[in-house]
Amino acid sequence: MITELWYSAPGNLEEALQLLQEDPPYLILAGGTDLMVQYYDAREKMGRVLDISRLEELKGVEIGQEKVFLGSLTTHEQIYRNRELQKLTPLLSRAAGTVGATQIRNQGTLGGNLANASPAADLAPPLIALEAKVMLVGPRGERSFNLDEFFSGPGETRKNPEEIIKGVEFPSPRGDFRGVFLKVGQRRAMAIAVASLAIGLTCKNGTCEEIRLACGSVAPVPLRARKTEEILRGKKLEELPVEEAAGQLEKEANPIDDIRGTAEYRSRVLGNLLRKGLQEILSQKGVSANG
Amino acid sequence: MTLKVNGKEYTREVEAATRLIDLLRDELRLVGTKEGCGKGECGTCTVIMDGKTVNSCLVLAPQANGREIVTIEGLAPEGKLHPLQEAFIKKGAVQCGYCTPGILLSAQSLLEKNPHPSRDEIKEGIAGNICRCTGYKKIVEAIETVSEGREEHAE
Repeated sequence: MITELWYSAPGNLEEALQLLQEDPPYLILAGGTDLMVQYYDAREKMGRVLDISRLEELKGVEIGQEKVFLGSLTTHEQIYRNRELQKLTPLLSRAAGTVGATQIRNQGTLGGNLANASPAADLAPPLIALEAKVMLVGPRGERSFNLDEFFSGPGETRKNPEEIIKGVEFPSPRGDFRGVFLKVGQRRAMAIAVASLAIGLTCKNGTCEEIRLACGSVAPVPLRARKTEEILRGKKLEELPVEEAAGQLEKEANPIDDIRGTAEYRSRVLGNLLRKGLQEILSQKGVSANG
Repeated sequence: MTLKVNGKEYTREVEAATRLIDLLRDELRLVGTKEGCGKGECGTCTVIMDGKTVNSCLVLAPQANGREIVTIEGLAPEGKLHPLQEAFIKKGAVQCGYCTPGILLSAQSLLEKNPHPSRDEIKEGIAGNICRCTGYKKIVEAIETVSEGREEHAE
């Protein structure tokens, strides 16, 4: 049984943006790993599908001295296997590697992971920790959001329906940047996060000069834990108030009970992830764009 | 739409809502590709598209327009079994057999990229394929023997 479905695969971005202005709106399809899961249960809601997976304008990985740009069609597997990114942003590579398994990583894209706006989106915490901006392109040109301000609720973003995610951009980490990504799931492969945490820390003369904490699956959106950051910012690395920070982080989180875990469990796990993550960071040497 | 499957070109008119797995099984009668969960969890419907494994239940058929697909039928084109298939039989890595086509293609894709994977790399390579008979040990061993066999050839 096949219900009617309209499918368009525009050859270039301009054409795609034009189609997106039509009513009723198109659903944007890239890798399909989120959208196609609804195939059996909600196909009638799929209606009109705009396949952007061939748009060259959305591809490409540019790793420069100043900035890193990742096109929205970059797959999780490409991020996971990219040797330069493994060196420069191991927290991002690690997060990409925890998504699904090879087949899902080959199909699922960075842009899709962000547009789907799951609180458990694995790429969101490391990208927030890396101070990423998400670049949108629409009929009236381009605009961008800081990624930590992009998500507005579960499955919701500040992207308009007629806009397409072009990619993300973040400053190339300097030699004094240290980052880590930790995720707890129910099994080692194909796991959706019960809780995850990305830490991006810039250290100067043994002091935590700047820190960004971003958590997954513990709030309606990927959560930047600003109050916990404040407790750690400016402190000597040897004297980080880890326990105080872990306690604050548990309070700052706002998780729910669901099939993967209870709210109480998630908060507890998140505190532990911070303890473990900070320990890992203290044992790391800085990574550098110059290698 | 036109696509190449196991080296052969096909042109078909399909409903937009057709998935790649439906095209392969119902139109092209390549029924070696199995459907399990239909939600990208189990990996039974794995095929290789443009050199990469994908779950064919998550691909709309029109997305495969112009692409090159390898299905399980493509592993043994002239009825001569692929070394991986031989190894699976020899090691007893096939139980009910439902997951086998997908696992073979994941293994094939892994060995293409990494001819001598470690045991952990093999496990990672087939992590997207569920075997509900849970016969993973022999599956991993079978893939290992093919990888080691290749080493002997190299020497």
